[in-house]
Amino acid sequence: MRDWRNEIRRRLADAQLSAAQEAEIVEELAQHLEDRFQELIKRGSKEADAGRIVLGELEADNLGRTLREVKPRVNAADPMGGDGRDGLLYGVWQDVRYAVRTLRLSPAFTGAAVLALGLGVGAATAVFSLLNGVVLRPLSYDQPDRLVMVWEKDNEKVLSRQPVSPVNVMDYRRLRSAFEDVAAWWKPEINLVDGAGEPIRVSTVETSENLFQVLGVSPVLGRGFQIDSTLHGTESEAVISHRLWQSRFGGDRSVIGRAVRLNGSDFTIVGVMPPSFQFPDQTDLWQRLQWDLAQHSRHAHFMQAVARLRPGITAELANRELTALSVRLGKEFPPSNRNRGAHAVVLGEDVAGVFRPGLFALLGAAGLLLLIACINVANLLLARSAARQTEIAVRATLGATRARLVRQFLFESLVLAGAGTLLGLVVAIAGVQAVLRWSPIDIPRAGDIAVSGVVLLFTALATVATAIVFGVAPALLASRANLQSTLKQMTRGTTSGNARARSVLVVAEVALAVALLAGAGLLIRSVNALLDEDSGVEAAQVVSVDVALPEADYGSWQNPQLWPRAEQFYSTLLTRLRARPEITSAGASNFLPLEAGWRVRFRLPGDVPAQPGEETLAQYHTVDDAYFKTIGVRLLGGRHFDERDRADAPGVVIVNQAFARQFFPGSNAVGKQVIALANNVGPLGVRLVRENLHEVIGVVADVKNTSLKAEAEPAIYSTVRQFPFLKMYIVGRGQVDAATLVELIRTEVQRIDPNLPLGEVRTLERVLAASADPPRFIMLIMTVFAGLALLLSAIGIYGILSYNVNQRSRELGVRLALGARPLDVLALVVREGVGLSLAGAALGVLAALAGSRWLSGLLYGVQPNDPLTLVVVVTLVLLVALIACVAPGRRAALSDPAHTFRSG
Amino acid sequence: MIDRELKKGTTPLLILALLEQEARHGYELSKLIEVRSRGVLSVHAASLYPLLYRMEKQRWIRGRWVEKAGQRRRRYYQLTSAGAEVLAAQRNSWTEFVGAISRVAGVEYA
Repeated sequence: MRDWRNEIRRRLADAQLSAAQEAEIVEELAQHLEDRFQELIKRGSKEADAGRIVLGELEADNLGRTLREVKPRVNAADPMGGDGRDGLLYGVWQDVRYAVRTLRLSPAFTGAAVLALGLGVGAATAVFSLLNGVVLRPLSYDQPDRLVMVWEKDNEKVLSRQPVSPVNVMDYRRLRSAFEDVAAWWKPEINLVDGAGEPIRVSTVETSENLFQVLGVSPVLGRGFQIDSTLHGTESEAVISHRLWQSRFGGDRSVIGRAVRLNGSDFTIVGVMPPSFQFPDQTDLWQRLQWDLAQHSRHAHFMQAVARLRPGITAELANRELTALSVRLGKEFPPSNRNRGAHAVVLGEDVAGVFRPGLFALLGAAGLLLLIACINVANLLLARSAARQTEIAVRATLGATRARLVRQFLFESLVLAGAGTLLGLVVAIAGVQAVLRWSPIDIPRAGDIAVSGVVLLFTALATVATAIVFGVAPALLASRANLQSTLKQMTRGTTSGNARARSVLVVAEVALAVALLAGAGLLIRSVNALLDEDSGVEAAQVVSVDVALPEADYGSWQNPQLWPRAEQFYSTLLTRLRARPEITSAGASNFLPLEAGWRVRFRLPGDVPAQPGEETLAQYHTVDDAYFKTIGVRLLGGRHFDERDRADAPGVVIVNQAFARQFFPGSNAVGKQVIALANNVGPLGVRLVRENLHEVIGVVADVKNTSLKAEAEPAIYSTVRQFPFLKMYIVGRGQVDAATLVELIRTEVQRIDPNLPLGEVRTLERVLAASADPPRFIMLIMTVFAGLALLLSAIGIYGILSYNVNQRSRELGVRLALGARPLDVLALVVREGVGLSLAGAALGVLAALAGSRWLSGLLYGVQPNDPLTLVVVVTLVLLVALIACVAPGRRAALSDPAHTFRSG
Repeated sequence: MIDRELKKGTTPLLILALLEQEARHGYELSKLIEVRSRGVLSVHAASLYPLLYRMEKQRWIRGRWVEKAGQRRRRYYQLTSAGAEVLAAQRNSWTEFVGAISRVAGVEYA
């Protein structure tokens, strides 16, 4: 006797039978096949032929699939129907396998659901991770919640977050009731020359000795600075970053004690900070403060300060003390401290800066996207459950307990959610990498950003909950419902409650997509409006390179006799650059467009200087003769600076139009006089002209000098001959490409001083565009989200329409049979789809209006309720909805009535 | 060859009829259908057993394993009372149907 069992078992693989069931069927069929085989032999067939015939007959129908539909009832012992072994853990693996098999049988459904979940989970996780890294995760300092940045503010001009004066810092430090300690630093531009390689520009701060102690971070190698009561020392010591240690010194431990030349002076490296330590920003070198904070000027505001709050003291309490102190200082030192205040900002909030509102907007968007994805999956699950009413009813009839049915659906939902989460993880990792890699802007604390396990867990839980609720609830309802009615329904009609629920979900989905699209649309318009703003310069074909001259060789407020050398350096450099045929124009300025100059007081002659300290503020810039020409700023009256305006000549200034309009209204500013009160700006620049009185020799058109959004502030320009600065931006305009221009500038710089490296190299266009980077970044992500939301909604609409067309095939067939034109049937379907989208769009517009105030901080030049944006968005959504209607509509219109009746 | 659809629709009737006299196992049923139809109708295992299980689920027939001395146990199907009613009803409508076809198409009913 041949063994037919394996042949049969193989064909039963699809049937999803229990072991007991399968055994019985195999036994019965095997006997049949054997009988048939013997009969064929008896009739004279050869054994091989007989075997082939028997197996051929077994192939006739798809045995497995047929049996799966039948769900045979063998000795009333159907495990799927419940056999008393419904223990909690019994057959978990079997259930999972069964679930996977079932899901694989409907690849379209499974694919759509997993894709929706994956995109939703992935996008939400990526954004949560960014937010977590930038805003939420504690900083890597000791007790970071007790750290605050201390800023000064100008009460007159309502400027907050201004740098602090070194003398004031020592006063803040004495507020022992609020602060445990205060550290301060400033950023000189440092060129490092160590004989180990090319001189490089190092991001450096010169800091009070207690900075590391205030932050609670110790070097990983060597030591920090000894702390003196005056916070400064005479020893020239420096601590370097882990990054600089690795890149410049190859991680050599003998670096401790090595001498390096910083801006012409020798410093000893005493320590290396841990890799995670980035404060402030991406500093690579901390130089020990070598001058006394208390002996500096209260007028000079160029330092930044961080303080550690006493335990139990909040930033609010500290701010109250700072305000009281500021009032006191204002009375004691009116010229410098009148109308100035100070305030503390928790470090975590300060670091996130401009990203805070943007990231929270994105967080909201990510939440919405996750919601849309969940709705889509809910929708798909409901549609599927509707299609499976029959299956559920039959199983229930056959004795499956409710628990058993729910369990099966539960496993399907879990498998779906699991697959979706896995895909989501991939999407999240790729998304975060893409953001970090292609972000047009510097993201603070980028090193701390990674896909967060906690976040992934959260989003996974959200999807699992959705999958369970919408996957299992229908099974619960159906198994309780009247079997008779379900079985009747299975032949015709829809389960109307289910369909209604799905319509509601589609409406919600469209509404959320509209809200997201509206947000993205508003941001796109904002960014465009921002970039359309006239900066006041012609940025094309201009590059900017910054050069910082070391104090030791070119002058500082400690050795002012060297200052003329700084002036000479820049004159020589620019003269040589202008001699190059590739360069059409070259100039220099200590600030680029959109950067605010030093805000220092000035007076007009004849003004009664009522109170010292009541003079008006203007921005002070230093430029060379050809700066305005190079960046394309028009001279509106008078003349440019030229070689007449030497340090030993009378003081002259050029003012911008805003200055002329405000302080010389209705008259020509040229020839007027201003009393410029700035004689030096910290250690950075020094006025070489003794007299305060300056003649206005020219008026130039306004260049935006705070941001693209704001009108230009009044500005006074001095010539580099009379008010030289160590650090200047060299701007060059030429017909050659940017890289060539930069190379030319580099060559000329090194010809004059071989130890001078170039600083940051940017095109002027990039400088201007950079100011729009944060909103543009948010806009890009928001647009991606909105696109995904639209896609998911389209899938949702398509899904419900296809389902409804299937359910109504009989009705549509009747209509066609009775003479309705296919176009009428198409219209019927389209009307339903458009109806759903219109309802969704209406709700979405309301949601967008309500939600747009969350975006208002990011908007520019567009109202949160901008009608154009809303109209465009709604039109777009309706268009997409129409496209989603096409396929189901076509199917309905082209359906063959005869076929419909037969299958109905 | 008889049209597939027609065959599918009539096989349950044949099975019910064959089970009217006595309980039979699957092979016996397929054999009888082939023999009594003189080879015109044949039902192979792949379609027979799913059909039997479906009819069993509809409670028209009932299957039971029966062991006879010296033989392997076999599954025998027998008609239930519900099955008998269905058979009677189907016989009637079949007779009517065949009569109608004959009258319209001019086919003599053998």
